[in-house]
Formats: sequence, C-alpha cells, structure tokens
Amino acid sequence: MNFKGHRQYQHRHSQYNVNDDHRKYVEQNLQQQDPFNSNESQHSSRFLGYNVTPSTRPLPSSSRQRTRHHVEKRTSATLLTKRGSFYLPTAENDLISQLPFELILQIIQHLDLHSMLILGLVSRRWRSFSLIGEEWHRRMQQQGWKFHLPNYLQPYVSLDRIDWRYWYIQRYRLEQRWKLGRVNASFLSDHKDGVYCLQFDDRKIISGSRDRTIKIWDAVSFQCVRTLVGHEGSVLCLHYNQDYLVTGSSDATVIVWCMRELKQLTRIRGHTAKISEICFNDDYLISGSRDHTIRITRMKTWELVRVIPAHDGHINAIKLHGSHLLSASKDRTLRLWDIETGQLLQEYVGHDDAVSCAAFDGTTIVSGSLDKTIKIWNAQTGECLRTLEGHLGLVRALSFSQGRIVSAGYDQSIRVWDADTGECLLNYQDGHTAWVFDVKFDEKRIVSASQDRNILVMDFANGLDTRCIC
Amino acid sequence: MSVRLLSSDSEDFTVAKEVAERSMLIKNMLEDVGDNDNPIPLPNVTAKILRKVIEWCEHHLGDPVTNDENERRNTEIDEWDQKFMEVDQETLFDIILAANYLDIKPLLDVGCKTVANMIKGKTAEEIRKIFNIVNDLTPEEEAQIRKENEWAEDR
Repeated sequence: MNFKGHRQYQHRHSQYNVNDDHRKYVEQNLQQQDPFNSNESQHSSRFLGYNVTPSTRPLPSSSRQRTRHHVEKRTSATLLTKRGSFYLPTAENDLISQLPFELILQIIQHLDLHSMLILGLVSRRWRSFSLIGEEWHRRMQQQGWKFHLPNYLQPYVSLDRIDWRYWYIQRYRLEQRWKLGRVNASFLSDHKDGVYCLQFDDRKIISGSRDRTIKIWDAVSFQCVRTLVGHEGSVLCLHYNQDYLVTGSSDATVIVWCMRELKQLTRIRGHTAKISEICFNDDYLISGSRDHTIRITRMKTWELVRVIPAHDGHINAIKLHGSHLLSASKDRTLRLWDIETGQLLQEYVGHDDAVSCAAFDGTTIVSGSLDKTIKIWNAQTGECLRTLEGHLGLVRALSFSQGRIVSAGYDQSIRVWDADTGECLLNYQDGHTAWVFDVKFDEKRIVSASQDRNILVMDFANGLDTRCIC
Repeated sequence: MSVRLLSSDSEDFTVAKEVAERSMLIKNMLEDVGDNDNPIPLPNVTAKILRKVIEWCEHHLGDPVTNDENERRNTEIDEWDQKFMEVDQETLFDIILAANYLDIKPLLDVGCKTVANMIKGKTAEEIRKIFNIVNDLTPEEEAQIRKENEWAEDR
C-alpha cells in the first residue's frame, strides 16, 4: 500500500471553505454540458428524432420524412461499398446514430464503463452519447450510489444541471480503490500510550488512550485540537453524537461530556470493574463491564433504570439498535436483550473462545473472537450463517456496514471482508506495529487505533471529489 | 382467429391473432376497434421488415412476458435471436425502429443488445469501421479525451 506521511495533507484545501477557486471548480464540474442543447444540435438536421417521442407513438411526420430521405441516400452508398470502390464514409452512413434519443439510451445502457468511455473517442456525435447525463444518473441509481448535495454547495448548483457522468466516475474510482486496496495512509501520533478506542466523522476523530486522555483531532489537517482529562484510568471506550461525548474507563466510571463546550456534565458510577463499551440513544445510556453486568441509565437525569446481570463472564462489547441491545462476553456467547424490559431475546452460541467484539445492524450480527474467527449470525433465529477465518490472533474490533466488514486484531492486520460471500477482500499487514484495539470505517476511510500509540487513517478517496457522493 | 396487417408498401399479411398481439400497438388497436376484416395499416413498416418481425413473433410466441428490469438488462442474447439478428445494418436499424413503433419490447431489447454487443470491447477505430463513422474529432480533442478516460479508469 501507498504509505505517505501526513504532512502532505496540511496544505490541502479545507473542504469547508468556499473560496473563489472552489466556486470556479464547482461551476466547472457540476454544471453539465448538455450535448443536446449545444449549437451544433440546433442547426444540424442530423440530430433527428431528438425531440423525445414516447415509444408507442410513431415519429412526428417531419422526422419520418427525414428517415426516408436517409434510407434512399444510404442504399446507394451501401452499394458502393459492396462494389469495393473508393468509398469514403459520410455522416449519412452512420445509421445507428440516427436512431431516436430514447433508443440510443436503450442501446448504451447495455455498455460497460470502458465501452462508454471509448464511445467518447469515436466521433463528436457518438461522444455526445457517452455524455448523456440521464444514463449516468441511472447507472448511479442502479449501483445504489447515493447523491447528496451538501448545503454549502446548494447556492452554486441547480439540481437539474448536475454532471452525473462526473459524479459517477468519482464514485466508480472510489469503488475501484476499495477493490484494489489503494489507500493513502496517515498516522496521528500524539497519545503517550496505546490507543484503545476511536470514533470519527468528516470533521473530527475522537480517540481514547491508555494515557488516560481523550483527544479530538481535525479530520482534515490531522492535528490534535483538544485533549480532555478526567479519567483515573485508561479510556477504553467512547461514543459521541452532536450533543454528547460519553467515555468509559478502567477506573469503572463513565463520564458524559457536553459536545459543544467539551466540559464534563456528569460522572456515572456503579460498575465494579472496567467499562468495556458504552452506547446511547435519546433515552438511555448503556454500559457493559467486566463486572458481568449491563447498566442502563436514563439520559439527562442520569438515574439508574436497570441492571442486567447479562453474562457469566466479562462483557467485552455491547451494541444498541433501536430497543435491542447486543452483548458479547468472555463466556463465549452473545446475547440479545430488550432494553425496555430487560428480557433476554436470543442467544448466539458457536464461538470456541471469548467473544471480544460485535457489530449489529438490526438483522445481522457480526462477532469476533479469541478463537481467531469472525462469525455472521441471523439476529432473529440465532443461526450462525458464516464463519470467516484468516486472522492469526484475537479479533479485537470490527465494523459492519452495507455488506462490508472491516476487522482488526492482535495479529496487527486490518482486513476487509465481503459479508455476503465471506471472502477476505483486503488484508493490510503493515499498518500498525502492535496490537490493533479498534477499527471504524465509512465509504472513504478506515481508521484504526493501536497499542503502538498511533491512529492510522487509510484514505481511499484521496484526490477524489466526494462532496456529493459520500 | 387471424389478423390482417398492411405494410407501408401495401403488402397484405395474415397472421394469427396471438402473434400479432406481441405488438402492444396492434393489441391496443384490436381492443379499441374490435373484430373486423379490415387490414391494420402499418405505415412505418415495410413488407421486408414486417416479414422479419412476424418471424420473430412467431418464434417467441410462447415466451413469458418479463418485467424484470435486471433480466432485460442482461446482455446475453439466445442463439436463435443471434442468428435472427445476423443482418445488414440497414435491416437492423429498421428492425429496431419497427420494434419501437410496434411496441414489441423484447424484440427492441434484442435489437439494442445486438448493437451494444457490436460496440463492446472494441477500439474507437474498430467502432468507426463497423458503423461507417467519420471521425470529426480534432487530434487535440482526442488527446484530451484519452487523458480523461485514463483518469476515469484508474486501473
């Protein structure tokens, strides 16, 4: 993989500043050059049939006549070729391109990307086919690739003038890089000890460390912008949204921070051992601990709602989805709970050793274990659907989204898996030099935290324009 | 039950109703006018092409109607259709137009897929040869597009 230091990023444009260059760039790239409204098409009778007619109705009489006109001319030219005399092709012989627009659309929808690009080199007329925005838009939708115009761009772009081909190609290239594993790597090193946990978004990365601090990093410049001190032990887990940052520690307490001012709001005590993971929604804050219990606390009032004695061993991970809570334990099982009632809903048995991490999207559960495997489960039935083998040690962390699993562990590797086929797609071995404790990803990046004190950002989108596609 | 069809060059065809009804245009017309002996005029289709279209409809008479977009996008063409489409480009062009006019979606699909398959995997020069296309791009434009394409594929 293509490792480069993080220094190059410092000069990069911040994508949140809309300056003049930026605006020019936006205008150039976002506004579609409509091939069918160009001057050429207006005066040229060759652009026959481009006033789109529904397929069940005959062509308007004017274009019908034109078709006939072409047929006559063409016949004589075809005869010429057959005789093998000097034959210079003329535009009139380029029959297929005379088809009505809706039929051209139906033809090009069968072409792969490479052929679409080659069309651009054939002639001006065929180039215009390779630029039809409608077709590129359809392809994006077919791939399930989302398009989202951020607020800060809306003043510059009208939705009906989007250059779909441009965005399709940006998204395609991003996908290609995931396929090939091509990333730009940057290391964030400011923690004084191993980094246990992290979460990130487009603007920031937040990490917790054995050095007892929580650090907030600028996700663009990769500079540490704030360090929070509060815990008397390692910061083992954290979770944030736009209002709250919640951290759990080996000091057996949970601290709730106000996200805006980064001040402590409250400290929750009660667990008698390390907090291994926390999650929260609008109503509840839930913590899992090595003391074998899950504690459910009401948000804002911070009063204890319920304690679930969930497992016969350390709880290593918990995940919340709606009112369902998943817990993973050293007792080799995972369990699904209803947080409103505290009732056990399902149990997942199959790992040969402690379950160390888990992910849950409501229907599918993915778990990693000391037995070196990853298992995929049907959340409802409890059935193990697949076992992924490859890691050479404890699978310490994993994330799961849109059919993709990213896992990391004590073998120092970071692996990407196809959740549907179970295939290992990528295997990064040289990112960290010690145990990997946490890994998260989105469409653009994989970010991991390690005992080697570094946070590693592997960026798939370097140099691509992802403003509207991620 | 049979139906009479009249081509643009005034040739009269008599075909089974089920065959003619592969065309949604004709099917709708028959529903509108009811049974009568008058031939249905098809002013956009010559006898030569209508004969081909009828041949296709007869062969595919028993085909299930598929509305599955994915299946329609599948570029595989079955062997019989491949043979059927081994025609000169003028005929191919006219079959596509006729299938569109008569609203026979599966035939239109076969026609469009045939053209797409003629393009796939070819170089620009090969495509120009196949379709008798004059290259009116300037060398500068070509160089520019080539550069863009390289960037887009990024293999």
